[in-house]
Amino acid sequence: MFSFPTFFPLFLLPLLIVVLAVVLYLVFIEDGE
Amino acid sequence: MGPLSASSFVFYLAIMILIGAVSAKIRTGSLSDFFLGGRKMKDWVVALSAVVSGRSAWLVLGMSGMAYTMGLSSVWAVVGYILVELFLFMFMGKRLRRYTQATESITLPDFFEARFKDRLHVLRIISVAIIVVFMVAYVAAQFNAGGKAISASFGLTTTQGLWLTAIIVLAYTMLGGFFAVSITDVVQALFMMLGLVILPAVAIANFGGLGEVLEALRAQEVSLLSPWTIGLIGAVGFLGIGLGSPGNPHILVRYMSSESPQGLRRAALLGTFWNVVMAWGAIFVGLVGRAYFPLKAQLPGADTERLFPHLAAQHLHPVLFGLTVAAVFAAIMSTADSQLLVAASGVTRDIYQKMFRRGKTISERRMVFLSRMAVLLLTFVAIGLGAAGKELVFWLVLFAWGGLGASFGPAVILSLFWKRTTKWGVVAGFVSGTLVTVVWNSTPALRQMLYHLIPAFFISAVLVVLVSLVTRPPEQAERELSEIRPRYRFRSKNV
Repeated sequence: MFSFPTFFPLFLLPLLIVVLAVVLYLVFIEDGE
Repeated sequence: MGPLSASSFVFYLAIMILIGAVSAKIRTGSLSDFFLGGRKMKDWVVALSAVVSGRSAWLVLGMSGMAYTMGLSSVWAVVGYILVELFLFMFMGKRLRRYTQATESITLPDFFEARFKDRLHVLRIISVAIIVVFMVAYVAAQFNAGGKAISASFGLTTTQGLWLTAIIVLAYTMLGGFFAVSITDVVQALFMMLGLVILPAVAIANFGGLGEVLEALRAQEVSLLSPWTIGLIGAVGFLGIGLGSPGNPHILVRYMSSESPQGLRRAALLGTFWNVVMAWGAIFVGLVGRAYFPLKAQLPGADTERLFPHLAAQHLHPVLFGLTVAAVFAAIMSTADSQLLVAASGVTRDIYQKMFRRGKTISERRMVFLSRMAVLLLTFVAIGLGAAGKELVFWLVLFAWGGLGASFGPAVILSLFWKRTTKWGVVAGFVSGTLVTVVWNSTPALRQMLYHLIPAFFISAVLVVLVSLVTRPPEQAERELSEIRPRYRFRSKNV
């Protein structure tokens, strides 16, 4: 049903963006937080 | 629209006014309260307010229409701004928040003047002129969009719709200032999310599932299911839309209003999640709409921007339909209110208090009163522009997102991250960003080649750097920027 060119923009891309946000959230913690 | 739909829409409008009335009693005692919520806004409020202030009817109506026409290639139009805003929340917002608090800057022109110790107000004059003109035109365009949507849904005339939109926005913005605008933004974010999740979910289910929708699209045109049909330059042009976010003052003041700079890390997570769900919701609306209506002529007025309400009317219960119409208004109002307030801050804080009455003591109460009057005055200017100068508004808005992005974006980023940035570098960035936007847009060959914001942003950035390198930097820049630089745990010696 889903070829990669369809699956990538519909599901993988938004998921990757959210994962990037989570990674940045977990890594960039300031001293004293 | 039937009585049930109208009731749920009126319910939404009543919530807005109520928030304005309550906010007037909570946080409007000083100018910082009225224009920045006293810098006490919670992470989740900043997150939602920042993302919905940046998303106008363009997302709900325009983006769903674009996905209808282009299919999956339209995703590139949302990826750029979502990634850029993640960077703003995570990195730039923190510095801007710290610097503006340390210098008691309330507006973006305040920030530039403080950063470059500009006693001649050169930066303030140029930036406030750009802000007031573009923001008022932007507000006028939002009022026009509200007028059109009301006339389509309730059978009123466009002018009556424009007045209704303007009066609701005026009421809560004037009463409650930034606090009201931010809290209404949160409610509006909920409405937008509701509309952009429920509508595609119901419409896709009614079609027989996503597999069926995709099959229907494949049968119409295979290219609708590929993200690459617009080519590399087309995709880059779409991604470039995101370069507008760091230069649009109604978005930047959201980061300045945060209760704590560290809180923006949490806001980044929520804001990005919200941005992603809203954007892909609009894309799914476009795709399922195309499956239902293969021909543009099947849409009201053959207008792809009317797909969203048309689809909602066909698939949702009247109450939910009323709420989805409210989602369109939420998108319009959440942008208009923020822009109106930024324009008013330009008039009262930047022009009146900091230039005409410089050095004189004016009570906070009086300044808040004058700010409310500025909101009132600018609303009427925007109504007048929206009603009388439609062509002028269209022309100004064409440049607004990109013009502000190119003029202020590189200047703000470099001012916060590069100590060598100078006042004249920033002036060069302001002027070149605006000029390249206008020239590029006015030249058909260039306009067709690439979206104007990309060349304008990069030329502006290059000029900020070059002119800064040949002029003298402000003396305290190194110390000031070191004080606002976040100290991350992973760099700490103790870990």
